[in-house]
Amino acid sequence: MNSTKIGTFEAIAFIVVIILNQIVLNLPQNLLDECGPSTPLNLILVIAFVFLFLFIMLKLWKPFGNSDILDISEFLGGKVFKTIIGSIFIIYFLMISGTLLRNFTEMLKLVYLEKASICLIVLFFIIACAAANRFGFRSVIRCNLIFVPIVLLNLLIAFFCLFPRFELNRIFPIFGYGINQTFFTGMTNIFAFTGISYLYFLKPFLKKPESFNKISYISIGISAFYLFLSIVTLLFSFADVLTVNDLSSVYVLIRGTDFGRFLQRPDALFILGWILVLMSYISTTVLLVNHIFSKLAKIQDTKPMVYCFSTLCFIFALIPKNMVAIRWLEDTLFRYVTIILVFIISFCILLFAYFKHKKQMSYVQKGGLTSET
Amino acid sequence: MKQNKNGSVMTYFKDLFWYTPHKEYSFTIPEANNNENATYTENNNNYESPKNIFPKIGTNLETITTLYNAMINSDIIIREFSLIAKNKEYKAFILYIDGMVDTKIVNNFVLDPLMLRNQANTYTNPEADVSKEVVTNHITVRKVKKFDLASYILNHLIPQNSVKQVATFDDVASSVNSGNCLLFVDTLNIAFDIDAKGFKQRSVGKPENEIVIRGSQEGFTENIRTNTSLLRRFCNNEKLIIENLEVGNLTKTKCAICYMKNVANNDLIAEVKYRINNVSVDSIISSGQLEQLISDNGKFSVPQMISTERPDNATNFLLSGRVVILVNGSPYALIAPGTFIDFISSPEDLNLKYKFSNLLKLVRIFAIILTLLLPGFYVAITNFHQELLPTELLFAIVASRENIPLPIIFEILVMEFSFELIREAGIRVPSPLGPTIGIVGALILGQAAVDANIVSPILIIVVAITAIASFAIPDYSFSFHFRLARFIYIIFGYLLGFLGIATCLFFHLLLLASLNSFGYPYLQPYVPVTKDYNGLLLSPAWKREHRADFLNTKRPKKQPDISMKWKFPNK
Repeated sequence: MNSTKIGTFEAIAFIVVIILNQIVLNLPQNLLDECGPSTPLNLILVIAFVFLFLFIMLKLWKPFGNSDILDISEFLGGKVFKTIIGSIFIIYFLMISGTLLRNFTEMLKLVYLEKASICLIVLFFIIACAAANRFGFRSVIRCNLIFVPIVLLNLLIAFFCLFPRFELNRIFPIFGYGINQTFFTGMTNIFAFTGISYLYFLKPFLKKPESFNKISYISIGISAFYLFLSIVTLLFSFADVLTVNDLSSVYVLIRGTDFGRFLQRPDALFILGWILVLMSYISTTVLLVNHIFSKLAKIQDTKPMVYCFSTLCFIFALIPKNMVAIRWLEDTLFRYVTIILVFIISFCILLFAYFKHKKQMSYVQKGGLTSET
Repeated sequence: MKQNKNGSVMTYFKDLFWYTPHKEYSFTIPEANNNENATYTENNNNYESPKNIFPKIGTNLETITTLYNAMINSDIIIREFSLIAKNKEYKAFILYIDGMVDTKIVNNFVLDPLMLRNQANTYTNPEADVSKEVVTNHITVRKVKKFDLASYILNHLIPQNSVKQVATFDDVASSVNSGNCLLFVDTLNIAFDIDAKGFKQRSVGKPENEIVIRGSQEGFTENIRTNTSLLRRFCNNEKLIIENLEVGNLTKTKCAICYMKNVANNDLIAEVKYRINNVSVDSIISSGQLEQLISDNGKFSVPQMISTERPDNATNFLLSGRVVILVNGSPYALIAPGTFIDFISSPEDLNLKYKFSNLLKLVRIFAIILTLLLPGFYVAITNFHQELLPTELLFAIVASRENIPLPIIFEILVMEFSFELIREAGIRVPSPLGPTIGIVGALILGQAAVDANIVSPILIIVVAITAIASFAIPDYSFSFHFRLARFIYIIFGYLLGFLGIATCLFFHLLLLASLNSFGYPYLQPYVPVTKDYNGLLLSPAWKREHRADFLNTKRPKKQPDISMKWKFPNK
């Protein structure tokens, strides 16, 4: 049994964990800020676009077998290009996970641990992440598979309980801030599907590489479903688009919901699940970063590097000065960085590599024909 | 006073001028050479015992006397006598341990036919010994067979069902230690290993710790042969293989590896054999000791092998493709591999209708959650997350804790520790006193602690529920693991609330996910997910077509799609 190969379910959980964390934090709110009441409409369009993107991406990937984006970069532009792309992805993953971690710990501090230093809370998560990675690839991936369904159920229950508060009138005006905002500038909401960036590295890990397409569609489908559900819940539950400075909008929603007489405010139980899934996400990201680094530097034993990347994640988490900075990073910087890196640069690499491969193949075929004749 | 004074003066003078020998008895062990570089040696004495049996009986006798310290060992019996074979006398002796052999067997079926003159040992027929006869020029040339004493004794003089020939002193020692009688004969460089076991042993009785209502009421005993026969009876199939191995350099404890040849995975069987063959310890007395030596991860407290005292349960596992290990002297069988789900199952589950079994399994899972998390949750909620509780309950908790001077962590740790103390005392005290300890400890002390305002009544409820829940976990070692882990959850819950508990949970699951049992992931069939559903919940008896997919058995199906053919005769 190969210890670095994962099954279909583990691979799906590997991708879904990203969107779960983003939903728990402020992603739905960021999307709503962009388009207002027309966000569901905008999201449908975005989802359609993402699936189209995925379809093309998988078609372009076909000739490259079990390669990941790094191998394809090397094929396209040599080792230097591969190193550049790998390094950009490492920084991107660490920055996103660090900022998410900081955002969550700020919420945790505000809600329960007001006396604790933010540095200590972040450190707690980082230690968990480093220790998890020391346990090895298999443990992290399996653990992720346990937590993801729990939190999927957790969120489903939360959204279901909010259903009585729904007012369908809140969808109006249906085009929100205007058609331009909904269908053109609002398309930047595509950044919500950061999970695709993990897909670029997934294929070599799979036990059955032939199920890569299935995994991609299912994981992005689940992500899209939950994102849509969270947007709809948030939009229909609040009288106005909510702007809560330091708290996650989903948390605020759950806190304000009555779950019956005995469990009046079970928000802490939801947070328990979210902590687990965040730890799992950070561990998975560091695992992936470690894998990318090992591929770039060709190191056999990458376990000691876990501490290095965990520390980097810790540093990235402490960079933002306050919640305003975190919001800016999440809402503005990562939005465009994700679009550029995941949807433009990576796509271009795939596209050019595909053409290069095709050219090579036709050359080989021509050569073959010549030799035959 | 005066006398005392005089006495003390006298003593002083006596001590000063007279010699009084030191009367107090004292004994100290001389200090050993603390050689830090000392290495393990299998044979510490300088005497090198010979390996093979000698043809000279005197040498064999001396060797055996030295090997068994027969001059000082009172139960080592060496009986010398003259053996009659084909009317000739040979010097011989038998060796056995008193109390381990059946003396009637030894007298009637070993000594009697060998010593007394009878038809068998005095009969000589020269014609029978002729193998070839050639007549040339009226001269008859006969080729006489060479007399083989060993085969003659084996075939004619020992009317026993189980007799083996052994050639080394190691084999001699192993057989004698297990209760056999050894026969040495002059001129033979082999000894006869005669099965004459007859030691006192417990008969097959009811299992004490795995009680079921509708299942078999037979349990394993301390005798390995009785246990293998129980397995044979339940399994009733010639494909059941029982291989014997010896573990322990000194004890040479017999272990049996049992598996279904046409079901169990070959790699699993090989791995079990490999591990047991490569255990190098002086002694193995129980299956618990062996379990610790062959488990994948010895550091983690969760059991990785199933332990059962029920032959029917062991047989069910055998038929599902697992390997059963029996250890002589232990009434518990070890089963490999053991996964998380197996420890939630009870032997009763298969005897009940699947709906009842599944309900009970869910109850057990709930019991695990309570055992592990309830005290930690209580501490975390009362310290950090009070909003979770309904206002009335919160008031009740606050009111009950109003007069308690101790912090909640101290209160709960004291109560949990006290409960563990009561449980341990209940097990160790003589059985008639056990319930008394429980009643005194739990009821009287608990009530007194509440009355004295040392602990709050709600905490007593929490501790009691946790304790009851821990008893609902079927496997003792598994329950122990959760009992131990709950203390960590309490401490982290106190320090960081749900963040602490989530961290503990994360690490706990990480550890479980990292575990393997004989190469099989511990959390299978759920993590990683396997193809065929064969996990926590039982399907109806007619729908249990497949063996667990993760076991990779040789017979993946255990019944056809239509098992109730009386109902669907045409399918």
